[in-house]
Amino acid sequence: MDLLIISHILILILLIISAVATIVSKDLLHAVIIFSVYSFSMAITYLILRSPDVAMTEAAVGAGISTLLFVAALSKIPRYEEEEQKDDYSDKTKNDTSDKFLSS
Amino acid sequence: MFLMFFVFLLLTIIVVLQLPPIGDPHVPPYAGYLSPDTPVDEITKQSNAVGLYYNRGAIRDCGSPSAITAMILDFRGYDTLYETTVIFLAMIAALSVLVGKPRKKEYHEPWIGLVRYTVVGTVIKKIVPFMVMYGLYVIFHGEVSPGGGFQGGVILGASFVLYALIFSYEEGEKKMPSDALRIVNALGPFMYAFVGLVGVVTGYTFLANKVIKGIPHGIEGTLFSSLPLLLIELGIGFGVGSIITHVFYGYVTERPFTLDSPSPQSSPSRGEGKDEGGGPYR
Repeated sequence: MDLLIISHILILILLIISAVATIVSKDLLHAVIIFSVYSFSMAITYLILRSPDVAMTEAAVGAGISTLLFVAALSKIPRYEEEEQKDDYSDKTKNDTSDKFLSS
Repeated sequence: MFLMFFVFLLLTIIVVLQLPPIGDPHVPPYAGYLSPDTPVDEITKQSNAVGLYYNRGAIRDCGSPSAITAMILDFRGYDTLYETTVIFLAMIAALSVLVGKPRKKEYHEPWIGLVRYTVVGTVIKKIVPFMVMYGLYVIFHGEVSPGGGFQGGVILGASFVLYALIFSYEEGEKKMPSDALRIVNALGPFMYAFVGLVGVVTGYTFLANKVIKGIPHGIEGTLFSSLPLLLIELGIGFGVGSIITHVFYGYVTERPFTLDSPSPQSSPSRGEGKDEGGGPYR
């Protein structure tokens, strides 16, 4: 029983780490794969809480089909989140419209 | 960011330490797990009797050893009926946005599959039959083990989506043509309403599954546990699988949406879905 609670806590720590890493990572393919890790640890959490049906749904939908659909969507857009372009854009807007913002 | 991480970690650990012990018989959902021979009065004294009623009624009223399947498909049958209808309507909405004008064999950007290495193609070719097999296993064992129509259908759809994603859209179309998918799409609500209307025609209430006489029900605990639940599981499973695959095909062959003509793409399956209201049979 103690082993179950310890493994439960470990899996929840993995859950939080993967959830934060999904948001942080700039490589979108890595984000998708880490998100499937998140879904799978969620499924194991459901399994520990004795609800195998929900665990199966989470593993099939979260880790299975949504990862596939994310990969399919990713193949139509660039893989990396571009930081430089965003900085340029913000700089440009800051330079161009600084007067406008100040006046308005 | 790290502050957020530690706050969530602390909250999670606090919540986990306050959970009831797993498998505690005093928690209401586990009341039926005490033992099959425990007298009812004692269980009602210890916890509430709702869990006991549903756990024992699963076999007595529905003939399904898995209490969750009995709960989803029979005790709250209307809920699941509308759930399947909602999934079907969502597919129609998604396809009507994704698919603009129905031009045959001609789409905006041809989908070249993602296979670039021989290993990926070979592994996927070996894995996909087992995925289909496992999906069918989950669908057919819905009443005896965890799982059921939705889960098996998603696994079934994921196998076809995986095949069409890794190889090209044409290869996937060869294995699972979208004309066949269009027929199966409305099978979930249709089969549900059909099984429900069998009860109405034979003189019982809508979705009266176990009570109906004259229909073989099978033996509880075997694969053929109860015929109505098996039919509903089959309908939901194939329906959900085909809906997922169809939405993926629609996404792959996406055309820009134009306001010139309303999309007639979603119309072919409307004829089957019409039965779910059950108007003319009443």
